[in-house]
Amino acid sequence: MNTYLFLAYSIVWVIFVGYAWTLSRRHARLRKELEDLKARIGKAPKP
Amino acid sequence: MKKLFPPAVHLAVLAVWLTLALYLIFLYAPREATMGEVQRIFYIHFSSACTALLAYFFVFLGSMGYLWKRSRRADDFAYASAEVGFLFCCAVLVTGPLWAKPAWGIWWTWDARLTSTFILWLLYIAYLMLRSYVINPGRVEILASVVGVIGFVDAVIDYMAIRWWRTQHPQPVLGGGSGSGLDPRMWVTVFVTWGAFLCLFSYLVRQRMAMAEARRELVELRRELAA
Amino acid sequence: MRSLSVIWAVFVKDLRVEWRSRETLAPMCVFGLLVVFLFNFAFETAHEETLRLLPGLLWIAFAFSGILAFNRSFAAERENACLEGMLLAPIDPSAIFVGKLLANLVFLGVTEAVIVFASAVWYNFSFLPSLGAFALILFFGTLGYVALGTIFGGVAANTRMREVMLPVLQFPVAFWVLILGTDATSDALRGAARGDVARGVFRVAGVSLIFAVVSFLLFEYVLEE
Repeated sequence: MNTYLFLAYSIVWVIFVGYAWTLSRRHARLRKELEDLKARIGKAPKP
Repeated sequence: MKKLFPPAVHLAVLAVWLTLALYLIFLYAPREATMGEVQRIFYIHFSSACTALLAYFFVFLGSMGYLWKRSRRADDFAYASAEVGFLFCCAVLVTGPLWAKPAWGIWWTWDARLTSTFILWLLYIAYLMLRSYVINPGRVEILASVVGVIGFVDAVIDYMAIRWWRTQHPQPVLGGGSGSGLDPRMWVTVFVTWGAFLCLFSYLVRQRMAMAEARRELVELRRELAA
Repeated sequence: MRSLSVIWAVFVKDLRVEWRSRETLAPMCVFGLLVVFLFNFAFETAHEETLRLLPGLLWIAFAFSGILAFNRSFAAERENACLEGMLLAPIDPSAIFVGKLLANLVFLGVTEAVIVFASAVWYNFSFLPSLGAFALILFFGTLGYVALGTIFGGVAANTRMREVMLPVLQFPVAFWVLILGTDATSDALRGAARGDVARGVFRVAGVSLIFAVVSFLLFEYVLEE
């Protein structure tokens, strides 16, 4: 009986934490790329 | 967005609220007479369902906002709401059967609520698939907005019509009417849990929108470099 | 009125293209017949059950055949850059929508007639007693279904997996047109009370018209560059 209860809460937990985690990683990667790109523009000589 | 309410604070509020909700669910709300402990699934099931519905309304709002004003922000909001709303819809479809089986003996039935929720799930999938599959990136927002609007019209017709349909073709109703005989302590738990889920929704949408903006900045920058 | 002549021009063009290439109508009819044929064996039915299963069967056959039309409706345009040509001309995109809608209505209408005829023969079922109501239900149901199919066909034409994308978009939304159509058809064929049948017709008409109007209003965005 309580297996169902446990499963329900665990799966929901996994869904949302999993998503939040993936989101944060994607965002961090984007930000890093953005920083790198901005640094490169800073270093490159102005045309 | 809101400088008064930075993401860190949002996250903290969310953590507290969720903890409170969990406390209420497991230690405050009374044990249900007939179903026992399993009934506690109801709190997250109900909260997820309301949030999933609301989220699609936000998809509609964002889509209309884009069609009307060509607002990038509105489109970000629509896409974010769709992604996060889809998750909540999945949660509904997972928790539902897990509650129904021990409580009523069946995993599923095509009653009004379940059918509408399933169609809503399909509408989310349609929207998300479209966003991934459009070939020309310049057209994806407007096409998605069209689908978002039509989908919402369908969702409204759905929730209204399925009630009529099920009076014609009755099936066992799971949930026995969510309002039936709820202890006042249960009501409190329902509201707090729903609030917590809305807080979760808004946090995830916000983060998702920030990511969309970052990606756009990146694309702009790359374009500048290439020029 | 310019719009009317545009509608007519698009309509005639789509029909003429079909007349020369025969790429749409024949496959639709064949596919529809195949669906009816397969159902006959999937549900090995006694005659008494025919009436129970026939409405659903018919509408499923219509639904799947229709999908073929909607895919083709825009596929050819994409391949030959006709769409760009049409957009360059100073015409109302909604007129293009109505023209294509009418053409698709003709294609699906003809297919439906073929399917109904075949069902009448194979199931020894006469549609004649309820022909009036049935025709009305078919007309409105097809109208709503084709309106959605036309706009979603246009949307799906912009995607990578359009043959898959179209049904994914179409079925959750057109679900109600199909279900109400099936229900109304069931009442009509059973010879239910006139009031019930009339209400069924109104429901199908109502939902179909809502979707037709919404599709009509939104189509210009689908073509926008």
